[in-house]
This record gives sequence, C-alpha cells and structure tokens, in this order.
Amino acid sequence: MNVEEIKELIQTFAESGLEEIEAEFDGNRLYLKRSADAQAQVAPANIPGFCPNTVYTGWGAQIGQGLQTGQGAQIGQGLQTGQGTHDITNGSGGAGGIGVDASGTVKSTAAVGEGEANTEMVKAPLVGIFYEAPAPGEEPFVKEGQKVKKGDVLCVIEAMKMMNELKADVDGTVKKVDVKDGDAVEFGQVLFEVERC
Amino acid sequence: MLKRVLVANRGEIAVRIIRACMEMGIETVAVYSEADKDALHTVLADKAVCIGAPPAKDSYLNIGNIIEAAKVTGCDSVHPGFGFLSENSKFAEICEDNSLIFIGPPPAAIALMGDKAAARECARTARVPVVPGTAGTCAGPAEAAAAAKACGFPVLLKAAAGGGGRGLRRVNTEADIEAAFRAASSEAESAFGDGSMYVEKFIENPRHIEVQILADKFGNVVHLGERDCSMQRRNQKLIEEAPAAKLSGETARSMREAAVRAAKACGYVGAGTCEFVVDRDENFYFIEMNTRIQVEHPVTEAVTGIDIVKEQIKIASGEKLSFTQDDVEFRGHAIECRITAENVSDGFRPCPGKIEFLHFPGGPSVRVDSAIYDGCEISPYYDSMIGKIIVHGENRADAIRKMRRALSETVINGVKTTLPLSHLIMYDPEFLRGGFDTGFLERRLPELLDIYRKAGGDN
Repeated sequence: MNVEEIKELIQTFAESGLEEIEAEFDGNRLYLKRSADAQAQVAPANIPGFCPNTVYTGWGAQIGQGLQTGQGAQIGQGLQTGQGTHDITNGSGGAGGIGVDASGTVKSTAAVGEGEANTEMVKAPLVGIFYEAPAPGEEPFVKEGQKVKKGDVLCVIEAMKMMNELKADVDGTVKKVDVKDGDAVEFGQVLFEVERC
Repeated sequence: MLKRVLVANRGEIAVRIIRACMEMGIETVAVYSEADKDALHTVLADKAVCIGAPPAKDSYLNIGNIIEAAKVTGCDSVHPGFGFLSENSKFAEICEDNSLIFIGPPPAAIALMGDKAAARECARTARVPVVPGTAGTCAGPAEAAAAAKACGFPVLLKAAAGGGGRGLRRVNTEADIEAAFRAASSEAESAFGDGSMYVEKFIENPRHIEVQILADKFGNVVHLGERDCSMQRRNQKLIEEAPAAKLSGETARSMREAAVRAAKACGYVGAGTCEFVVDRDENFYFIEMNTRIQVEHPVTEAVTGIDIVKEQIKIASGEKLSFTQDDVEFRGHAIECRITAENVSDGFRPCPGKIEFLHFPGGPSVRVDSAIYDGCEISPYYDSMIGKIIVHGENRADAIRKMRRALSETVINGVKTTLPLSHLIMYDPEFLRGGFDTGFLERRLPELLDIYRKAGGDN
C-alpha cells in the first residue's frame, strides 16, 4: 500500500461519518480513529442524513473504487463479512482531525453493526399460530438458504380464524427460520432473518 | 374452577387480578404492549405475550391479538379489569365465540347498561329512582322542552350513546333548549353515530354514592354496601370511602335495595356497581351501572372482608355465591387515595417519567395496590394512575389518622404526583366533617394549593 492509497483511504474515511476503521493488506495494518472534536467539524459538512444502515454499502463501494490500484476489493469483502480486524503496519501519518493508531487492535464497531444491518429481521405483525406451508404436508413457503423476492409469501399466521399471509418486504436470502411450524408467536417476535441482496 | 386466566389489562388492576389468581392456584397469562415489556404485570404472570405497539389501540384494545394470545396459551377465560375492553359487549361476545369465559356480566347486560337511556328505563321498571326527566329518548326539541318544563330548569340534555362529556349540554332556560338540542344531537351523531337525546334534571353538586353488588348465575344478588366517591375533579375520582359518612341508615338501606333490584332487572351476573347522585335532602337517583370491577373496590373489601376479584372468578366458574345477604357484615371505615402521576400545580398535567426512588407505607391496616417499582418508567401512553393507598380504621376518624400516617411515610421521587394534595385534604375541615358533595375540590382546591405552595411544596 503506497502513500497515495493511504491518503485516499483517509479522505474516504473523513467523508464517511465512521468513528474508526481498521484495514489489513498483506500483513500491513492501518487503524484510523476520529477524535470527538474532528467529528464535530466533519459531521455536518460531509454526512448529511447519513445513518448507520446506509453507511455500510456506500462506504464499501467507495473504498473499492478509491483503491482500485491496491486491494480495495479485499477490503470491501473483509468488511462485508464483518470480520473487522485488518492490519496495515506500514501505514502511519494522519491529517487534521483524524487520529491514526498503527498499533491498535480495536475492532471495527461500524463493520459489525453494519453486518447486522444487512439482515432484515422479519417480525410477527400479530399474535397467532405460525404455519410454514400453505396446508399441512405441503412444501414450506421458504426454507433456509432460499432466495426470496419482495412480495413473496414467507408464511401464514392464523389469527381469529383467518389465515394471514406474511410477505417479504425486501429481496434477499433466508438465512434463518427462527420458529417452527405450529408455534404460537407473539407480536414483534422474530420469524425469519433475511439477508438483503 | 377456572384453570388459566388471561389478564387483558395492565398496571395495578392487572397485578391485582394476578395476585387473586395466585392465591387461588389459577395460572395467569399477561398481555403487554412493547412499552410494558418490564412492567410488573408482565413479570408477575406465569406467562406473558406481547400483543402490540405502545398505543392502546394497537395493543390493549387489539381484540384479535388478545383473543389469539388467550387461545395459543391455552387459557379458559379472560379477565378484562377496568377501562380498555372491560365494558365492550362485542369483546365479551367474541370471547364467548372463542370458547373463552369472559369474567364479567353477559354481553347483553353490558350492552343494556352501556345505552344510558335504556339503562334509565331498565332502572325505572325496577322501581329504582332515576333523575327526573324523559322516559326513553325525545323525538325532537319540542318534546325535550316539554320534559324540561315538567321537571324544572336547569336540565341536562344527554346523548343516549354519550360519554366523556360529548353530546352533553346544560340548559338553564326554555329559550335555549332548541339550539342546545340541535347542537348536542349533531355532536352525538358525529361522535357515536347516534344522535338520540334524553333530558334529565340538573342536580347541582350532588353527592356521588355508589353501591357494589355481586350476582351469581343462579339469580342470587347481594350488595356489599355503598361507597362515597364525591371527592372528584372533573368527574375523576380522587378519594373514596366506605361507608358514606353522614348518610342516614334509612337512605343507605333504600339505595342498597334499589341497586339489587336494578341488577336483577338487567339479568346481571358478576361484580357491578350502581352509581347514584344524592341531593341535599337525601333524594337519590340512579345514574348508571358500571359493569366491571372498579378502581375503588378495595374500600368495600376492607369493610366487608370479601375479596371481590376472587368472587368474580368464582362466579365466572359457575359457582353459587357462598354467602347470603345476612352473612355480609360491615366493620369499621375504609379510605382510598388514588395516586396519579400529575402535576397539581399545573392543571393536573400528566407527568410521565422514571421512578427514581420509591417507598410505600406499611403497618397495620394499610394496603397498597400499585404496579410501580424502584426505577420503573411511567409510560406516557396510558392512564396516569400509578397506585392506590387504602387504610381501614375502627371508624372514620381512625381511618383518617391512619391515612395521614400512611401518606406521610410514602415517598415517590422522579415524577410529580397527587399525593401531597390527598395529604392536605386529610386535614381539611370540610373533609373532616364528612358528607361533602362533588363540588368540594372546585371550592377548596385554590386554597389547598395555596397552602401547599406557601409551605414550599413542589409535589
């Protein structure tokens, strides 16, 4: 990683609204941390309307683009899977407002949070009985690992003698089904974990 | 006997019901909104089911989710408490349709007593005195004017479907009645979908005295005596006592008998309350029947030794009343002070917030019904009543001394409450004399608040 790439990464970080970041290339580790004062200066100018949920994908894409000559793709990947500890030991130096700590091993909280934010928790909108299939003995609407599109039926919840279809509101992959066929579910209970795509 | 009760309520009454069930060996299922995840009723019940978002219409009034919660947890019955769905005859019907016993009166009795004009007629046929006025509803302003002249001005024009002061007008002279009728009727039409009106004589600052009754499914009806609920602010009760002070034995007996007749006339089952207004000459008039457990039931429990919530559950289980009217004995005098999270210095504005420190009173003959605890949050979504302190004395003076003592022990930090006002009332000469009317607080509040401020109070 050369000095230009590091500068570019610092610039990207400065504009991102993230608190801190660690990155690793070929055994080299870079750790960037924003001080409270700097955040106050940077935040209003550069992150209008930024919220953690949107930071992740936008930021990942920026790094990928910004470090095309380097190993941007790896950074993007590493962060997306939420691993979060990457070192770059030949990196040092900092610009005003951004503290650099080459030896730190603090995990990237942003990456972890964003990793979760990519997962849609599908919750029960009403109290009732959860059914995974349209009728007993039939194939479930969805299984773990299955891709779903927005509007696809995920399950049926029976309440007040009515069958209520619950539909996906995002495109994605069903990572986990958290309840079993025939379970009683309460309001707000997590039924599915769907990873957006 | 019932085996598992779903408690379709929150706060202190939900806790009260759960306590009764625990002592009877009955399992309980609480329902809670997302705002009540850490509420006492949620924690105390054997099981708890989240039924919706914080606003009551999404959770505690969400009939579908409550019924489903009862069914999926295997409940055989539902206790509605007070407020929320407790006087909703449709909810009681839906419970029955889903093979759930509604712990309360039959839907028909709830519906009958919910229609104020029909309730008046029902009382009248049972020879229960009602406030002078029309029989049933008036066809139009002319009929209302004739009825008003017959009973004498001032009168109240009331909507049959009314409640909460809507569709209600005070009329002082015959000249005003036509305009008032049209305004109130159209208000009721838009608020309740029913513009039918009736006329009642306006009784200025009466006493508000009510009679508790219990009725089983075998036609047995007993009364548990009367409660005086005249200490009100804008129709919100603040302090209740049993029995009513300075009410002649003759009048009390007539009221008790009238309440039993009214309950029989409407086919009542369960615990209920007939509310009466009583004028200066001790003429009493039926105003309505509350078809549920009431906030102030503990004062009656104190003087009779009868657990009204347990009786509700036994009656719903199909048991006969285990005692007759002659078995009911009255002992001593009880007083209840409601505690609401309100700022008395700022028009009783509700004060939600966090309870920073809490100490409730104890000692002989003191009871506290509350669902608050150290560190809990008072939610802005629901009623501001956070608890009740009830004392039982040998006589009224003894009860007042006990209440002064109990209130002086009580510490609630973090939110402003009505506690200091109740404490001051315990020293007010008019209160001490007893027999005050519903105008008490309006007359005395400015001076009481002034005394409080001068003493450096900041509830």
